[in-house]
Amino acid sequence: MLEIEPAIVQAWDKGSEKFVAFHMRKARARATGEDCPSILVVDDEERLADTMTEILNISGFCAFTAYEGKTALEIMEALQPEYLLTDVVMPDMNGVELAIAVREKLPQTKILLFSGQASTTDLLEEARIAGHVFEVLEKPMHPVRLIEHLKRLRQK
Amino acid sequence: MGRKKEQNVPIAIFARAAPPESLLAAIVESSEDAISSTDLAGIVTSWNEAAHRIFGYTAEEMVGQSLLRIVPREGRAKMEGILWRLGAGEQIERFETTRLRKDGQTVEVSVTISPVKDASGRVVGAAKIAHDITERKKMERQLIRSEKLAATGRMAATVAHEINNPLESVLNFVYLARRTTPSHEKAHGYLLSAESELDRVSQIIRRVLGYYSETGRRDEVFLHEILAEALAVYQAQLHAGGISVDCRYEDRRRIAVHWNEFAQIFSTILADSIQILPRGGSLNLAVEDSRTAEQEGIQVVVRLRAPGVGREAFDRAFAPLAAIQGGISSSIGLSLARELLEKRGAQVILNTAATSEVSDAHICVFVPFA
Repeated sequence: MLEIEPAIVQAWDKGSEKFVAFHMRKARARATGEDCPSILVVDDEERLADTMTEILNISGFCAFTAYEGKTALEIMEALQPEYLLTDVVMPDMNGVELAIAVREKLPQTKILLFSGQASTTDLLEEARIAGHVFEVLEKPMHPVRLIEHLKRLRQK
Repeated sequence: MGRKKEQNVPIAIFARAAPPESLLAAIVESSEDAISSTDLAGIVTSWNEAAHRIFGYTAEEMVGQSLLRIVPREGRAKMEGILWRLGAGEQIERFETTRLRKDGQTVEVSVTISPVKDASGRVVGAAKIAHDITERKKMERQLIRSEKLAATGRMAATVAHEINNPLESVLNFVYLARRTTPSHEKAHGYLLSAESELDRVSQIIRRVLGYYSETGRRDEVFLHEILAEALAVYQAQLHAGGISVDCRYEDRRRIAVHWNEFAQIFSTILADSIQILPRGGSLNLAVEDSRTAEQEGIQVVVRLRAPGVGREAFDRAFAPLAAIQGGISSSIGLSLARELLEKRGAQVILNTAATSEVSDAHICVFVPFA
């Protein structure tokens, strides 16, 4: 059976005067000692982001969702998940800009770009020239292969 | 009145200083453009050296003959119409047309026709200046073709992207539906099949629409590795189609190429080969170190042998790859493959041969190291 549960609970932390987010699954995993890698899924196509998050959640990950770059960066800073899986072409802050910002602030994050279009090669080439090299996965990719790939990154 | 007289002066001077006929003849002879004259029936009365060079016929061969000799069948009525209009005193605008050379090849020319009048002012013939524009036309066609291709490529990339996102969503939904359906239910099996079909769609899109040229760093690879990987995808189809395959990989040096680009190029060549080869046909693939007069590189030879396939079928099918004029194959894939090869500085040579039993096609792709 698929388990359905609220993914994230936000609470105001008086000490730091910031919103903090608890991932229910992560909290439980911590309590039971289960290994549950956390990941933020970012895509401006909400259906894609939602389904991917759900799939990761039933596959042993603790996944969060963001639909745009700026929110994603805030969540990354607040929750500091192990992985970032982000779309490349998004309005406002694109995936490459997000990835560069995350790498600067949280260098231990495993970053994967997930792209469905050829024009991303230009964005990536620009980033590469500036010294930022990221791994890119091509959409569409079967979820099972994506999960295998994520797990492999962990073993490296 | 005095004014009018003044205006006449230069003409009078010109008339007095008219160059001797020999000078005019020398000018005509040394012209880069074909200059000829005919009577109103189209019989050639003069023919300069450039006309000889452009059309292949000497003055001896043409003077006294009909100019229709160099006019293709479909242009003859137009030529006759022009002579008739000229005789009637009409002006003929400069026009572009095709002419036939002595060796049977066509030559594209820009033609200016002016009337030749006798002393009484009656039109008795036509003087023609034909400027060879074959090269210019070729450039124009190449430009149109590459612009069309670029537009097609842009469209393909856009379509690919528009499809890739929803496809990923559908794949996710189907996967989730399967995961939440007990495995003993029929729906579970259906969803599993749907997933594998969607996977197939993804691969097709990647091959057909996902054509794009890479801008990143090239990989240092053995070219045969890319060919072997592309071949593996088609193994089942080749087997099912009764086509035998023979490979010889003898390249000893790595070469800097974009893996994805060459995977696309080889996939397209293989896919198109399978389409054209009948049961009993064979496909030979060879990769080896090679050198031309100027460059060293890797050569990939794809050889198709097929009983019962005319060599024209091979010529037609692979013309876009070798940029052969007149190819009518609709393979966007091959045209794009050629673009990618050209961008990499590679050369493609297509040779076909036939005996009464079997036809052969050699596609030779030379990729220079630098």
